[in-house]
Amino acid sequence: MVDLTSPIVKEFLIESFDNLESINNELTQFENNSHDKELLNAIFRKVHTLKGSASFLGLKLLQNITHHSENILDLLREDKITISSQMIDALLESFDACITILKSIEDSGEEGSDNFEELINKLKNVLENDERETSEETSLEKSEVNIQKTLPDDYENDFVLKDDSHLIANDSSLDFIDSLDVKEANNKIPIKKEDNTLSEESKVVENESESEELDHQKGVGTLEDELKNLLSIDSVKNIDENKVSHQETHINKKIDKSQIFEKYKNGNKVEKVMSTDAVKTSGSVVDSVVRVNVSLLDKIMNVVGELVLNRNQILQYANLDSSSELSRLAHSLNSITTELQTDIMTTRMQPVGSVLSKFERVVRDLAKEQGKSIKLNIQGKETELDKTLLEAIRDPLTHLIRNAVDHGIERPAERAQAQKSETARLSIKSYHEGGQVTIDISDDGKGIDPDVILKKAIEKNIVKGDGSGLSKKQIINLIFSPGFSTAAQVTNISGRGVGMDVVRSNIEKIGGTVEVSSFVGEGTTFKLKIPLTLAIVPALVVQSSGETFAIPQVNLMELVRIEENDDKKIELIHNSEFFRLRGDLIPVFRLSSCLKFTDIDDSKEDLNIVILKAEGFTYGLVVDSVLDTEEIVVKPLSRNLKDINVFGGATIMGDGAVSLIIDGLGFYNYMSGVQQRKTVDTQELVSEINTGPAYNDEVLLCKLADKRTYGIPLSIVHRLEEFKLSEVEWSGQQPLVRYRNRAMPLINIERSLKLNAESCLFNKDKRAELPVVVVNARDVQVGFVVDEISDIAINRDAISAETIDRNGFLGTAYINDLSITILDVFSILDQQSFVKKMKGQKNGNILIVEDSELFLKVQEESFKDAGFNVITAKDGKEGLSKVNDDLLAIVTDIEMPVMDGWEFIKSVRSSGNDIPMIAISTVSNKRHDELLKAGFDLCFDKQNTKKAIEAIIDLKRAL
Amino acid sequence: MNDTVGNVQLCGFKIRGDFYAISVLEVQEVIKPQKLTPVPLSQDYVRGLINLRGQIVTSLSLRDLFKMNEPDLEDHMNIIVSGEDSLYALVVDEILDVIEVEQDSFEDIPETIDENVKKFIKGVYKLKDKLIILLDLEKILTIDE
Repeated sequence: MVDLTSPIVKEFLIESFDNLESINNELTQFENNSHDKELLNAIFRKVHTLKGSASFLGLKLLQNITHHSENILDLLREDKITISSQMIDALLESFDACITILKSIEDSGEEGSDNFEELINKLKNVLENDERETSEETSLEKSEVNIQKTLPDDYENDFVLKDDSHLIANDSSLDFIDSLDVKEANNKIPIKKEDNTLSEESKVVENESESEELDHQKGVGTLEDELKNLLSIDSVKNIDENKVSHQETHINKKIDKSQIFEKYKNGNKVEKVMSTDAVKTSGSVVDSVVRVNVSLLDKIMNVVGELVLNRNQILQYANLDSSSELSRLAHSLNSITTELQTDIMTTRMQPVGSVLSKFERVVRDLAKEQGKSIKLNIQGKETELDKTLLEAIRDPLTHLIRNAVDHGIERPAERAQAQKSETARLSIKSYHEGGQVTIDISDDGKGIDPDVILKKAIEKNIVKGDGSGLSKKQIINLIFSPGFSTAAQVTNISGRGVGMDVVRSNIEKIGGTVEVSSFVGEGTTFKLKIPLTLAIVPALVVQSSGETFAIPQVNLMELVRIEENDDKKIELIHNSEFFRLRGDLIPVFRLSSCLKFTDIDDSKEDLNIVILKAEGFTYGLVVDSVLDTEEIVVKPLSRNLKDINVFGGATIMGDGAVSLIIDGLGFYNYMSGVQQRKTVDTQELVSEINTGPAYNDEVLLCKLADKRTYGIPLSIVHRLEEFKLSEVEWSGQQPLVRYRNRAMPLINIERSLKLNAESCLFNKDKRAELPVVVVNARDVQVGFVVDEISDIAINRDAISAETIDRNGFLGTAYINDLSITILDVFSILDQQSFVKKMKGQKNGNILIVEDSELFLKVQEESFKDAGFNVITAKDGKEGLSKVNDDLLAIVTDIEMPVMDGWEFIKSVRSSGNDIPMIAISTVSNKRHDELLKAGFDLCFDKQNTKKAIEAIIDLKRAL
Repeated sequence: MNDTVGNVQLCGFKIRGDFYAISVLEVQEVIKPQKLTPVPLSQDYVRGLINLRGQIVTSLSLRDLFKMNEPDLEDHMNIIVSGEDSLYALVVDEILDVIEVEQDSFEDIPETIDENVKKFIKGVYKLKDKLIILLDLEKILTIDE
């Protein structure tokens, strides 16, 4: 019985649980990579520590089990035996037993009634089986067993007590050890090098001297050091330096002594309250690490949340006040709070590896149980996530992994039949993306068959009717429906029908999303997106019917404003409202009426639409006004309000008022519940619109000083900025402005184009705002000064080049019934003195297939900038005629007349050409997986030409 | 709740002329009418949310909860109580003093009380001059309709 209140025991339990957990992971890793001596040593050290601590606390059962495990590990370390799966099984089992014992100690202070005889025999057998191969070792093993037997148990315990309680302070015990040592030294113990017991011992001594070094560094009490010197240095010398022959009696003594070492070491360690692991790997880290209770962190986090609210209030108050001192103080408070907030957030961040690593074991065990062969590949363990979130994703992840192994991955025989390698691949990848952490779980198993899913869904009455109207994606998403389980037979792993819907709801509960994509016969990928943290989120503050609402930025796509006399408007289908957002039809809801406010203000013709995206649904929310963005602290709603999924919580605004937080997905679900019938209509309509013309170029419309509207291809626009005229500096004739800590040249378009109007750069009013279109091209970042930025429009027609009367124009397009001159940004740039002449073409030949002249031009110039020689084609057919062996890569659009990208790649690939092909298309995001499946190496959307170029350069380097 | 001499301290309040009470131990504080943020789509007895020194308090109108179909008074009072998960404000007409009653004067729910109110009541204390209805706070806060 151990004293559970003792800090030593507590520390022992924490440390041992930690160690056992990592041992489990390390061991499975080691199985796959049995040459990793470091790993093995790490495992050995941990087991050794455990054994030492166990004997120190008098936990005989634990000590016995770990002793046997340690023996196996030691022989492995010495290369005496080779690793076998049976051995790993036995070891894993032994560590499971350790955990069971530890748990029992945690609960009751006792080791429990199970004596694990079977396990111990198993451990012995593993060793003996192996040892039969070498007779020499068999005898050694026997001698070792003898040694164990000659050590009476109670003697050991007495010794522990006597020793440890007095070791540090008591001179007599010091003397005792000293004398033992001297005796030892005189005896010059004979040791045979192959003797495993001894080598284990010398390891003890080595460890000892290691920890002693550390102690020295840390300047632990001098008495301890002295003791240590006496204890270890001498004996290290004795053992290491003496070449000796085998004598059992002496070994016996040595064992006694080594036990003293061990106990001393452990006593010492516990006293210092540090993890052995850390001591051994990095001595200096230990000093700078403190264990903190999570509840304390939570509390600090809450307080910081209050502070943030308070800061917001003070800032708002300070803005009203004219006192400069108050405003100064408020601003320094602001920066301090922000820093504190970030720091506190960081303390809660933990690498996802701590959760992911567990799956090594899970997958291994499951695979073995089911006779499957699986190689698990975990990437991005270092990605950090808030601790609460990490806890929250543990179960959903486990479920997904289990599902993948249980349902997704086939048995080796089936895989062989499907001409796949017998070892299946399961990969977990986590990474940061767009302010979120994404975790991908993908397997190369049999995939999800939509037909099977649909059949099951109809059977279970999840889908009414024959489900013929459902798309493949919609069908696959049915797996998330409550009560859905496809396993023909319920196993103890999965298939209880509480699976995927719980996974989804758990992930959504923490503000995350789950997406699934799957191909029959090729595998399934689950994509989990998880917010970095929950407590404080940036949000947009809007107002409707006099109430303010916060909308988290994660859901926010963009803001659209329709003015009274705009030609854009909200359209009606069956009483539901829709809005055309650059060609896509999206549903629009009016916040006031959705929330059943009575005082709806219909008088205003101007409309503010907040475009939101949640779980793949894009929709617009009409609000009365858009106020500001603010960092809000999310506070949960009380229980009787939680059922209203529209709101994700409440927050306190700068003015002290409470505002509700709109949950993007909850709102959509609520609305689509309200008008389920109507959404079906939308889908039909959207598909109609999507089958429209292939041209889909986004053009930024802006006015120049001559008051005419010009267009700039949006794909080369980096950002839209506004500068004050007073910020503009002149370097000779060249206007410059400081932008992101660099001087950015501004371009006087009017002069470049020789227009009869004076650029607003020469405005008399120095306070005037200067709209600037920032463009990255020709290796420079420049700002095009315009009079006014008007809109973004879509060009659906061909650009006529006939009307061009000067350099700098690309042609004329008809957009919204207006003829608009499209600027040739590249040729304007080439006129500028600061733009370097083009580099020589050294990167190789690229074929670009693109039907939009506008975008083709942008791509062509961008690739030329990067040093490629560019060949162009207007459609797949023309492209096909230009494919030759000199090409480095082909870049192609997907939606094209005559021959589209799908057919194009089919033709290229069917001729046996495996040239790298990159899709740059507006459909890239939506149909990413299909594109890759069709044979594209990479795909990007049209805003990401730069990334495509980088990728091709990387590709070239790789070649 | 009970002290050694069998006396109980109650926080008394009035709703439409009737006397109600909850144990003083359940009351965190009593505050004047506050600025309210309505919660759309919620049950009608949910008045809205109050910012109480940085904490969000859900305000519940007892008049509405008891289906009295009368609006709250302009100068109502809020009794702040702590529920399992968050703070709640009970909107009542008027606050009475802390009343000390004998446990002996307690009686279970009379059968004849209005059903709408009855489900939120623990019992009645019979005082000399009046009856005080003891509310079951737990039932009020966990109401599921």
